Amino acid sequence: MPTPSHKELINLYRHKIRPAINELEIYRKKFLQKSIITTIFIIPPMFIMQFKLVPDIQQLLHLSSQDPIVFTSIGILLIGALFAYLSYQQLKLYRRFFKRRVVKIIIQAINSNFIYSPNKYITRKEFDKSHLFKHKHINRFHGDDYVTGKLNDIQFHFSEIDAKKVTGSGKNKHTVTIFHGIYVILDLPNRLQGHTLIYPDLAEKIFGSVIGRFLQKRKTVLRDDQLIELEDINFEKHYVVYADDQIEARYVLTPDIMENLLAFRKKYKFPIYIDIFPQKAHIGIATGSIFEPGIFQKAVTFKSVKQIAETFQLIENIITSLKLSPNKTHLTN
Amino acid sequence: MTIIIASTGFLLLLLFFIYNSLISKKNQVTNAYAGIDAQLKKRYDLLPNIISAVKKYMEHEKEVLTELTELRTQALNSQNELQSMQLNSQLNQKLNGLLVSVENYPELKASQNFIQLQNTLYDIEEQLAASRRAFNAAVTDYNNTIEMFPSNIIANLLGYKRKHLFEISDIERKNVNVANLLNS
Repeated sequence: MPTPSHKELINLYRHKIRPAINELEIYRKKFLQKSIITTIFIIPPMFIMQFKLVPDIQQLLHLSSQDPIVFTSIGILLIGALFAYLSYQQLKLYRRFFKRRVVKIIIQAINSNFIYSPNKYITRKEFDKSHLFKHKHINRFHGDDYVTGKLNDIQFHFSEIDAKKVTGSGKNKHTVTIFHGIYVILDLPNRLQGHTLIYPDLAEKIFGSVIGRFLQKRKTVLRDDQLIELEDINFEKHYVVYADDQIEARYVLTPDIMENLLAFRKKYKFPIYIDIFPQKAHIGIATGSIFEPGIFQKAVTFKSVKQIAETFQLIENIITSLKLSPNKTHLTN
Repeated sequence: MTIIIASTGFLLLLLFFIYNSLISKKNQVTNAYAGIDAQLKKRYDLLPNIISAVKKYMEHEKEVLTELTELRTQALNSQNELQSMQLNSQLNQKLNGLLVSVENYPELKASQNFIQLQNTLYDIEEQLAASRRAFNAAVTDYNNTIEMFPSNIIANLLGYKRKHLFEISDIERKNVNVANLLNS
C-alpha cells in the first residue's frame, strides 16, 4: 500500500477535497458568526448587567428582586447561554462534517480497506496492556478518530489519544499531559517473553551522555525492567530503551530497526514511544491533534492534508520496519 | 577524631560499593556468555538435522559436510571462551558457504523440511547475534569499570583482567561476493 505521492495528493486535494471544503466553509462561517455575536453583543452586557448595573440600580431605586429589570438581566443571561449552546452545536456539526467528509476521503485515498470511525477510540484497557505509561498515573483518558486495517499482513488499529494526569482541585488543580497524539496497536506474530520499551531520550539530550545515563540508571530503581545500553551512539542520543531481558531487547532492536527509528526521529521530529511485547506492539507518536479542522483560518489547506498523509506514511513505515521477519515468529526461549 | 571516623566510614562505604559493582559486572559478563552458550547449543543440536537433510542431495559437498561435523565436535569440546569463539567463527563460515551452495540444488531448495530447518537456523543466528551484542555490552561495561579510577585499584587487587569482545573474523568482515560464491 504505497502512500499517495505529492502529485497524487495535489490531485486528491483539487478534485475531491476542495468541493467538500466549500460546504465545510459554510459551517465554519456560521459557527464564527454565532461565536462573534455571543462574544461581542451578549456576553459583556450580560456580565455588566448581572454584576454591576443590576445591584446598583436595585439599591438606588430600592427595587425588589421581582422587578422587571432583574427579569431583563435574567433574560439576557438566558439568551447568552442559548447563543453559546447554538455556537457549540455549530462547532460539533462543523467537526463532524470535517471528519466524515474530509478525513474519510483522505483515509480512503490512502487505503480503501481502512475503516474510519470518528467517534471511537482505543480503550483504556487496551492502552494499559503496554508498560509505556505505567508509572505515570493517568486519570483522564479520551480519544477519537479510530482507524483499523491491515498493512503488510499486519493487523493494526489506531486512534488519537489524549492522556492526562490531573492532581488537586479548584485553584490547586494541576494538569500534566502524559501523551497526546496517535496511538497505534499492532498484532505482531512473535513469541516474545517480555516487554521492550523505547522512549525519546530527554535525559541524555539535556545533560549529555555521562550524567544522562547516570540518571536513566537511577530511574530503573523505580521500574521493574533494566536499562539497555545499545552500541549505536546516535540511537542512544535520541532514544532510551528499557526491557525485561537484555538479549530479547537486542533481538527486537536489530541494527536495521535502530537505523529506521533514528531516521524517523530526524525526519518527523515527533517524540515516538514503542513497546513490543508478546503478540503486540504499541506505538505512540506524540503528534498532538491532527484530525481537527481550523476554525479561525480556512478549515483545510493542502498543508493539513499533507500532514495527515505524512502521519499515515510514518505509521506505515514504523509498521514495516518493526515487522519481525517470518523467522522471528519461531522465537522461543 | 570525628573527621577520621567520618573519612574511614566514607572510604569503607566507597570500597563496599566498588567491590559490589565489580562483582555484579563480572557476573553480568558470565550471564551474557551463558546466553551465547544457550544459542550455540541450539545450533549444535540443529546441525545434525541440517546435515542429514542435505546429505542425499549434495553429493559433491561431502567434504564440507564432514568438516562441519568435525568443527561441531571440536566446538562442543572447546576448553575456553577464546577457543570456542574461534571454532564457532569457522563453523559459521562453513555453514554460510553450505547455505549459499544450496542454490545449486533446486530440489533441495524446494524441500519443505529444508526450508523449515533453514528458517530455524536463521532465527537461531539472529538470537545468537543479539546474545553477542548483549555480551559485548556487558564486557564493555566491565572493562570500563576495571580501567577507570578508583575502581581500577580494587580490580587490580582482585586480579581482574580485561575481557575479550566478540569480534567478527576478517573473512566474515569482508563483503560477501555472492556471484563468486555461487560460481564456486
